[in-house]
Amino acid sequence: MADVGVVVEKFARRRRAFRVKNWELTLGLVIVGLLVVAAILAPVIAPYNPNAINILHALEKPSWSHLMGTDFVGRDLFSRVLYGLRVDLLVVAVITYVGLAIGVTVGTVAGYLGGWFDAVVGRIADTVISFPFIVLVLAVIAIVGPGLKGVAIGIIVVGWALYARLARSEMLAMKEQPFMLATKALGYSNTRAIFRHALPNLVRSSLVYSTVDVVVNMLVLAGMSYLGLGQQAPGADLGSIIAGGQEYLLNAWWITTIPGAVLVLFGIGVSLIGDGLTNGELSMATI
Amino acid sequence: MLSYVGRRVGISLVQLVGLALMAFILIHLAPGNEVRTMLGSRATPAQVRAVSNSLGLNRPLVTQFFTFIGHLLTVHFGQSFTFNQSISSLISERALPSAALIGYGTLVALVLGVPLAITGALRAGKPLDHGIRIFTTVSFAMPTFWSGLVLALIFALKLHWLPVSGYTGGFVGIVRSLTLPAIALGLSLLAVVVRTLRSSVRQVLSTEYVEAAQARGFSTPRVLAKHVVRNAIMPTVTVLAVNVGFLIGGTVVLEQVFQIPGLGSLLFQAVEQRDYPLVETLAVLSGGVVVLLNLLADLLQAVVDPRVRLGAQGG
Amino acid sequence: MSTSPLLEIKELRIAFGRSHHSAVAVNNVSLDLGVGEVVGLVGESGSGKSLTCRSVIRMMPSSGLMTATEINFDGRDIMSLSPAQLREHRAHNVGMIFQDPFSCLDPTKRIGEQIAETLRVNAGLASATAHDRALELLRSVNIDKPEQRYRAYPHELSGGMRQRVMIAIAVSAKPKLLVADEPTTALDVTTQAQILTLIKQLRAETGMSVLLVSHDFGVIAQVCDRVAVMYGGYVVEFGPVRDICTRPQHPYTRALLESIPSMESAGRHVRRAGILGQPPSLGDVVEGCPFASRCSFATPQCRSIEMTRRTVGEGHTSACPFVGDDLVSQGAGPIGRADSTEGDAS
Repeated sequence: MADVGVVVEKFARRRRAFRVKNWELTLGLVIVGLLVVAAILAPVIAPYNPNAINILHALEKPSWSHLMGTDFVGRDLFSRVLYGLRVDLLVVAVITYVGLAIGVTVGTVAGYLGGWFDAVVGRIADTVISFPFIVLVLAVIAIVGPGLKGVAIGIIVVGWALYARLARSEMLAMKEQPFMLATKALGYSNTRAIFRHALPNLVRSSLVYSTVDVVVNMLVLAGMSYLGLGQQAPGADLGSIIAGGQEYLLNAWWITTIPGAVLVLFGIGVSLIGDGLTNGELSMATI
Repeated sequence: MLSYVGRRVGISLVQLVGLALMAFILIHLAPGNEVRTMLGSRATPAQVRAVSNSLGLNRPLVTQFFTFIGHLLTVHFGQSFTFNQSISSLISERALPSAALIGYGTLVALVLGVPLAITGALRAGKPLDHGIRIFTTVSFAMPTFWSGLVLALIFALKLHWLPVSGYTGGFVGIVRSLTLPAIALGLSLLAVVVRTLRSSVRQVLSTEYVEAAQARGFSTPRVLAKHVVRNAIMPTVTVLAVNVGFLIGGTVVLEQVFQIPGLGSLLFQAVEQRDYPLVETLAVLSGGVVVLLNLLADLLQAVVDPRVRLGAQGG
Repeated sequence: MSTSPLLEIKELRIAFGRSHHSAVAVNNVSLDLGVGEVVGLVGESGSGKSLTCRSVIRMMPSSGLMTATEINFDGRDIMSLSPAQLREHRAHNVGMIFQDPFSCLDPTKRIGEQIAETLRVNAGLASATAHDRALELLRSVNIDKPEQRYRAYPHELSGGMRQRVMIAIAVSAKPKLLVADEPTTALDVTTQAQILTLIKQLRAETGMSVLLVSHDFGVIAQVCDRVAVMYGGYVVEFGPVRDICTRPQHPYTRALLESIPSMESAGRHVRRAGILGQPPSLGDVVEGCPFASRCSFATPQCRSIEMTRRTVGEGHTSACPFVGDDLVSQGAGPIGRADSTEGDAS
């Protein structure tokens, strides 16, 4: 049996050299990059004022003058999608990486120090994770009030916990490694050992995981806006644009489907980056 | 086995207490006077005081917490002010549609996901496997409300096969009214099912006991059904249990899309109306469901895999 | 030995990869095995012996391509069996046991049920009959308290016990041939002897043939009637065990035999001779004799010889054209030696 294993493995190693290198990462970066650039340049690209009402042109099909059509009061959907994407990308980036920063820091410190701090952090993180994500976000919105602020606080309150758990377990493993033991032997302070030596090594896997988190947070944010609890009128984000199209689904399918497709495209792009990072471990060794 | 069960149940109990405590703290962090928020700005101070007294809000927090726990344990959740109805009866009225939606959605995810995962594992690295992976990536990236709307557009508005929205009871009614939301929910879960199961099937396929079973002349379907899936399914069951929270979240949104009178839409209404006792109860209960299902999944794993209950890693 | 062959492998070739850059793991292997005979396959890991024994039930890794002029088993050509016929063949004609019995048993099923499953599926027995027969089989492989062991999970048994269970499964369909791929390698020496005794005992009782794969000449010599020595995908020497042990013809066989600790050296610190150098790895294109680079007899001609075996004694063939009895009896150290543990044939 071992014999066959050796043979097959040697063979597989030879084959691997022929494989195309990390197309997922490349494609993902291209998709996300284009969307981000489009969102940043929204004021330049957008052909219309996203909130300009033009009843005469309400519910128009996609055409050259309105690339994605118009909504029920004649606002240009393409412009609204660009501005909406701008809002969504900004909010998602902030909530995800604020959550990551809090979670990784807390988890690393907890794993390094152990003891009661670790126990308390661990219990809180476990409890937060036990709640259904959206339910807890909704509970926070009930307290803070609807709006992007409520959604953002809600997602961060939940989001840090997974990173904390991830960083904590990695810290526990890393604590035993020679370079960490050496920081103790050299008499470095806890702060120095944690933030200069452990954190940079721990952040990597959290960054890889954040590609999943970004997609989930984007979906939750869009969901909250769809429910009317996120971005408030007259501002618009993709979720609220989709919600606005629901009534006109049969007559004006584009109001609902096209902004949703943009969301899906973003999710695919980020997922591809995540796949690329997990497959091509070596190419990202520098992170 | 018994000691394992005892330990595992103990962990769940701690988690349940944690859930209750956290929900309690969250709600009591609420800014301003929650009674005033609930009653509206026209309420007189006397009214506010009366309601506060009836809710026990002027007693010490610790007392309030134990009252809250006591109510949870005795299934006396109190009164909902916005619905003018007891929370228990609200929940029991609304539980069935949500439970049915979650069950149906999970079924969709499994019916689609298990064959896709096995196919992907058997054809690992081949074009078909890549195709399946792209499909699940797309399904993961779709917001449930959006895929629900697109499904409604196609199958309800254009083809008229199923109702656009609403909910009717009875088996046929449930199947008719929940099929579209269940597909939307199932699609959002599909990626997790396929990826988990595919990788564990691949792992089991490469084991020597599968090779030995084939050497015995067992047919591929038999090896897959009796040995591979049996050994590979547990990580997926665990992942499903972990993702129940995700499904519950999905129902909140989908019940709005399809106008289903379930717990999800109840929670949404409670949040909109700032009905804090109702939000609190629903949050704790949904968390409790997640904790209990995770407990069940772990116990089931101990039944299926004899190595777990001994705590042995088994080489 | 036996006159009617049960198994005849003719010109077996197993390669990996597409035609132009394929790696050949088994090359031009021809073997035969008589009814009731025990034949050994011995060689270092990577010599192709495991793949060769799997060819009997046509079980290859997915990337492996197996071709042969013929693999005749009891009058039928294995190469031309349909998938259904092949399953029948695996189920009824050949029983197989492997090196690591633990990983070959389903970890989540009681061992009795695994035996009974085989009986139900392959022999079509009813559940109750299968249960009784499984107990009988456990008894026949010398497992005591079979009723109790029936309900045990693989991780609750010792290594030797697991291998007995594997043997019980393998012989449950009363196969004509038992293929044992390194059945004792993962076991300690005492258990190893017991398993070998069990195989001999079952063979005597049932009259089945055995194809025994091992890297250990000691194991082969204990059990086998004839032995095929494999190196670099070729069978370099094939003949009666007694003959090969006393009059090895191929330089590789000699090297292999010399690396076995002998009775005389027991207890004393005598470093055994290893074989210098490394065996060729898969994908290396070797012209002529694959052993030439490690053989101190090698001449330039060795790089271009045809690897076919010629008769050197009664029922005894060797692929080396240059080494005969005369050369061996000269006592010249024909084999490169390494006074170290490196290159040990394991």
